[in-house]
Amino acid sequence: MKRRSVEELTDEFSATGDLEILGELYSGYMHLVYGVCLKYLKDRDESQDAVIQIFEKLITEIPKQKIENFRGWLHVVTKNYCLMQLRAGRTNIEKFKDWAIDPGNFMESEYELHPIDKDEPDMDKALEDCIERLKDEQKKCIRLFYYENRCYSEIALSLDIDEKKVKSHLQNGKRNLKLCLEAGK
Amino acid sequence: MKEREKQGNISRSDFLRYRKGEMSEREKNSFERELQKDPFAAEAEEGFSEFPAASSEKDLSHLDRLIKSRSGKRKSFVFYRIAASAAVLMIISTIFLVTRNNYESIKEKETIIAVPAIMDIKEAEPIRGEITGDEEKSIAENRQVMSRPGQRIADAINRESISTKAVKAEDAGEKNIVPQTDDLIIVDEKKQEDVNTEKQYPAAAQAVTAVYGIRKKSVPDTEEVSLDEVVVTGYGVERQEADGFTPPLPVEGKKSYNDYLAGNIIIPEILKEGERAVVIVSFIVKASGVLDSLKVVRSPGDEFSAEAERLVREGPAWMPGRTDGVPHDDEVRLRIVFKK
Repeated sequence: MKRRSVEELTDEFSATGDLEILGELYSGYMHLVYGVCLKYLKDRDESQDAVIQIFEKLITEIPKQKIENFRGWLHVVTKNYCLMQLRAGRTNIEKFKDWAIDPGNFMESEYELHPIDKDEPDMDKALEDCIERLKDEQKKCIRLFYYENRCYSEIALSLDIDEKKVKSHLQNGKRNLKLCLEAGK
Repeated sequence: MKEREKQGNISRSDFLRYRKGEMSEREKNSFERELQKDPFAAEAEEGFSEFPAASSEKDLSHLDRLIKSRSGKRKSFVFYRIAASAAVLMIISTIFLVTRNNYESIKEKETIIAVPAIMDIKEAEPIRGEITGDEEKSIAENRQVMSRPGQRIADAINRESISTKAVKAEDAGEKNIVPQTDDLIIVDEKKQEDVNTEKQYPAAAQAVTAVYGIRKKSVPDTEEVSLDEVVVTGYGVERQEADGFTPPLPVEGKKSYNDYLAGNIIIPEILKEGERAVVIVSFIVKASGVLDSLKVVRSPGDEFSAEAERLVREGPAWMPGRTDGVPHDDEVRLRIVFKK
């Protein structure tokens, strides 16, 4: 089958209601949806169920709206679904009806690429200065990860810290870098 | 095409190979770098990391089959078009077959769901944020304000002790956050709807905010003011007595200021998962709008103090307090809660 863009697929599905098209579209994201459900629901059966329920929801939601960023939208839809599942004190029917889907209402900025994640960081000097100013562990993690291409487990091993800690140093380091870069502008 | 290409960067088999340990260290780094760029994939990987790769692989092929059987046949399409006109019995039975799966799964879940897993979630900031939003809303709704002019707090020390007491009461989880002091009040000016993050998940969603200005002109009905844990709260402490007083306020409004706090707070790493730390800072908004005398009133540690001070220093501008339209120096007190 010829590969079509996400936009073509959503448009075509909206126009025809052809579930095969939606299936084709969804299959490219299903593993992400499943993974996110595992993260929140922490249960394989519930998560599989969620993947199917979310597909059902797409059937009705996609034709209703013009979705600009399908990937980001689906991420939010997935999280919302899990959230509803986790909420106590409501019946499942209510939950299913209720979970909100609004294509305009998620943070676009979440999908903005961090300067350091760009293939060729455009502010090398400024970036370098800011990295220099980071706290020691964050600095080490950023350097090993971005400049020496070490993976989480290698960094964890060489710094003798937990892998989770590596991720959190990277995350916090990146946040600090961003602030530092913005302040320098 | 862009999205599809992007998605192609992290394929399903990459996830599985990563989990199975089939990647070289360099491949792992590239995979992890893609995760860093892509919050959707990063969350998915967090989920996969909690289960064996083999079971995820099996589940995904199972899901493939389910989705295929749901979408593969043309009659599903027919069902959509014609069911609306409800013409033929045969088609109705198709609907029944097609939808039965859903009912079953919903039913199943009714039993499973009995144990809400909210407490188990360690890194699910969005969920916390969402709940907080709701609770704060109810707080906002519950709070009423009565007016009782003509009283004053003698001096700054007095004010300080009162507001600290208020804070302590909150920390202890008491319902009544305001001490029995007639001349202390809480005016809740914040509309909490905007904090209801059900639909949006800012990166720092763990810090949800509320601003309460303390004024001494009215006495609140403080029933049910059980402040939520996850709140960044600001206090404005007021000095002046006269009518026509407006306290110092963020130029762009409290909501915007709260958004700024929530979006920019950097939680020091020494704070453990599930813990919270409270910093109270105080500063003067001069008549000119310049901030002055920024100091930390209470803090669990230097890292927290420094971050709280940074937030205020680098934060949005403030309008001076005014009495009868005349701007003057005034103190503001902010309470910032760090929570992981």
